[in-house]
Amino acid sequence: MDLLSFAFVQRALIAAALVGLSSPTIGTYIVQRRLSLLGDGLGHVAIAGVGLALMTGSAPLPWAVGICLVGALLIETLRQRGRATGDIGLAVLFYGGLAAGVLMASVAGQGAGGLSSYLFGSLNTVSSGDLWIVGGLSVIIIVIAIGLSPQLFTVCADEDFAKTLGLPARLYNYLIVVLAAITVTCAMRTVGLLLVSALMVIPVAAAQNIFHGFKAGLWGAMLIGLIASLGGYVTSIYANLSPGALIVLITIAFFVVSWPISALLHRHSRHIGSLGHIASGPTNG
Amino acid sequence: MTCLSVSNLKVELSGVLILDDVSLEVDDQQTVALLGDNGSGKSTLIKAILSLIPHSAGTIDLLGTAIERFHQWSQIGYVPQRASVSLHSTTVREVVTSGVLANRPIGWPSRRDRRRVDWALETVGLTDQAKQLYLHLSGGQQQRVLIARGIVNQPRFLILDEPFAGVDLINQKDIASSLASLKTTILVVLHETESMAANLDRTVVLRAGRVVYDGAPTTLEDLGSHESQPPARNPLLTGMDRPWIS
Repeated sequence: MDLLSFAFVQRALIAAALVGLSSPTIGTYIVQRRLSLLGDGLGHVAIAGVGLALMTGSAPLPWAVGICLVGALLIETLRQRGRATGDIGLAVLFYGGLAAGVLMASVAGQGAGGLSSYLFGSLNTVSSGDLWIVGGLSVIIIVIAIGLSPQLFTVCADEDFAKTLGLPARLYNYLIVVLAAITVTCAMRTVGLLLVSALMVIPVAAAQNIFHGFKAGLWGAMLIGLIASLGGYVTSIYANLSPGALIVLITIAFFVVSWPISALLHRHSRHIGSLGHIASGPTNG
Repeated sequence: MTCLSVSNLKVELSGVLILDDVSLEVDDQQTVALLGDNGSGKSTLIKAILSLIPHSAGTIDLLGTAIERFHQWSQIGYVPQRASVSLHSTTVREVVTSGVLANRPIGWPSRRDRRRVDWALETVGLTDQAKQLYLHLSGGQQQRVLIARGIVNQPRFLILDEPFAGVDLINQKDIASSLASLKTTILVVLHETESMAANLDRTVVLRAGRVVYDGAPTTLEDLGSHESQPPARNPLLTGMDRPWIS
């Protein structure tokens, strides 16, 4: 237990917990909008920000946040104008970001290896400054994603219907991708930019199998993300393994276990449902 | 009092003329059926009325206000043709509750909203299924959920786009009876009017993007329409005749 008394371990645990909570929170809306790979694409875009920071000798996190936000707004604009369906624009943006990041890291004299800690995460090197930024941004993400959950759910579930309620659907769609971009950059020090999408999506998929309904699924995904992040990091420091990879593999373990649980729950639910049908007379169908 | 006034409406999508010179009025407390063959422009008209798609000419007034300046969305109920697939991990109550958010860009549903949801579920006969997943319901029950979502604000004007798609006749009549009990103004897109015949005040028939009949309740069969006719989306190209204008 003495390892937990080190300041760098404590910072890493707090960062892992915050990212473990915030990533599935915004991931719930991304999955509902069927944009599960958005986080992966934004991770590629953020690499350009890291490369730019290495080239200019400045802190990577603000640059990554800025570049990722621009990329996210561009992606949503393309989607809303119906021009993202061919995926060509997205592909250019995503791989352009990756290539630009690697190129700028090379110019900075660090090569692709200089990006490694951002691509795969490096929890043990989270500084106090990083923690303040990640902490502040994670709290903002969680507060907005939960505070606006009725509206964001409605827009993600049925955009046309949301518009007929007078909700600003376009604004909310931009808000979701902006929050996703911030989440991606917050997670780059924990699971890394290449694995961040897994922490946004897989806890949500597992929670949807286990928990009943949207709201329960949202809380469940946050719980799974938190357990996986803390469990993955603690295991990694004792087993001397990569924390980012362990965190993602634990979320996948949750997903695999959620299948049989889901089958059992659905069988039970359908049984109760059929009893309800009998009790309330013939139903349509 | 006129709930809806559409005048000389023209809608073009991707350069194709979908609706041409469509005029239509729905008065307070009327139940009006909008009929037409596939591709006649019924759903496009509904979407234009709700400002979901732009119109290139003409005017739309909802509850006496031009659609461009309209904000009283809690007075309008909308039931789409089918639900978005994104409702798969959602309970029936959650789907219906989303309807109470009209004109509320922030905030959570209140206790009063929860009572409205209870009322809407009871009206469509789904109180016992409130906690079930939407996905686990039959097609007809899913349609009832969407109706409950559309009526949860007790709207003054209810717009339904083929609410009976995939629902058997007995349950169509049940739903029609629920709608009649609301005593509200209704514009409903239908393929056939049998289930709602007793409640209809008027029928409007669209063909190839134009109103070809507006009068006493009738059916497409009575008007001599044929489903075998190919969808004619552009009346300017098809040289459509207008034999049934009353």
